[in-house]
Amino acid sequence: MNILLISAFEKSYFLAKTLCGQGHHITLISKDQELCRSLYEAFDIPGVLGDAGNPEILEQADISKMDVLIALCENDADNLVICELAKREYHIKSAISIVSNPANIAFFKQNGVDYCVSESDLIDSIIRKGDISNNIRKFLPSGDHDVVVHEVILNAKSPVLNKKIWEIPLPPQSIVGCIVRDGRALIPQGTTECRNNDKLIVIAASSVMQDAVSLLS
Amino acid sequence: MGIFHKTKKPSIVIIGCGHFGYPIVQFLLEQDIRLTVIDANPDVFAKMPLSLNGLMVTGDGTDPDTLDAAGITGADAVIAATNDDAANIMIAQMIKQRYHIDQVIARLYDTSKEKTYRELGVQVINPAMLFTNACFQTWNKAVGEV
Repeated sequence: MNILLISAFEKSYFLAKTLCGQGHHITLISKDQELCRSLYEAFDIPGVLGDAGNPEILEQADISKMDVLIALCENDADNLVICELAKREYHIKSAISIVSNPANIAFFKQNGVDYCVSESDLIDSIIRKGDISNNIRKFLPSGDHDVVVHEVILNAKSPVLNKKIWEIPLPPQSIVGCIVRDGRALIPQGTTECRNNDKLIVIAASSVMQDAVSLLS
Repeated sequence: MGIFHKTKKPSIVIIGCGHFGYPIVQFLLEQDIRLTVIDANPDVFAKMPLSLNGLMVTGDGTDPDTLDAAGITGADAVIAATNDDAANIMIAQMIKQRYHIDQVIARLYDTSKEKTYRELGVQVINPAMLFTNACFQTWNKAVGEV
């Protein structure tokens, strides 16, 4: 793919390295001469020195031949303007932007930015997930009676398809704790029916988990 | 009897109180309006007169939290007058879309993006073009008078 990378961050060096390693063709627009030089010397990446908010600079970087634009400017406003120009004037297929203020993510998407990456949002979600898993660990007894969580995705051949939860002879010490259906989590009752493509989250003592899983899949 | 008759003063918000915004703020302070000024740098408010009849808010104008804190909902007009073209564009779009205020004007120095944003419904004023037009008008008038 042809990727237009817009950045003045030193960190972009490693992103460029990864993308080049995957066989993509990168072009860089940067206000930082040193970054242009280092990416050219290391990976033969052509660079345009200047402000990507200026359509002339975008054209110098051959924006009309690009498939993806990645905007990594420090300022949210700069990223938004660059993505909007690329989408509206040059009809780029996909625009990816970092967003410093997570409160602006919805606004960016509303204005045509296809993917938003927010560092603060990512770190926040990792911390939240960490909290959840810490809590789970806290409540699961340890030692000989270790409890494990396993996910089973049902397919057309699954023996429990269209059966209600209570009809499944799950071994003692095991339970279907959650069903993820069409991207939504639901806590099953005994009368909940299993459907194709359901993701069942099974919680069981480690000694019976294997039996429970083979019963479902 | 008009004594109890109260008309609502128009409410205007200026975002950015630097080289460009400050003279606008000074002018508007003398008008009979409700004025709110937002700037990221609290130092700019130090030069305001003490008798100032307006609300000063310190914060980033592209942050919806700042705009909410400034009570932007219900404003009659907004001027995005920071020294950054991209910030002015973003502010103008945000105010139109999120707060449904139509009277938003963004100051732009760079003419290359003007067309794109006019098409998007952002009202743009370019100070350099205004000055140039004023010059031509003055010259044309002078030529006409000769």
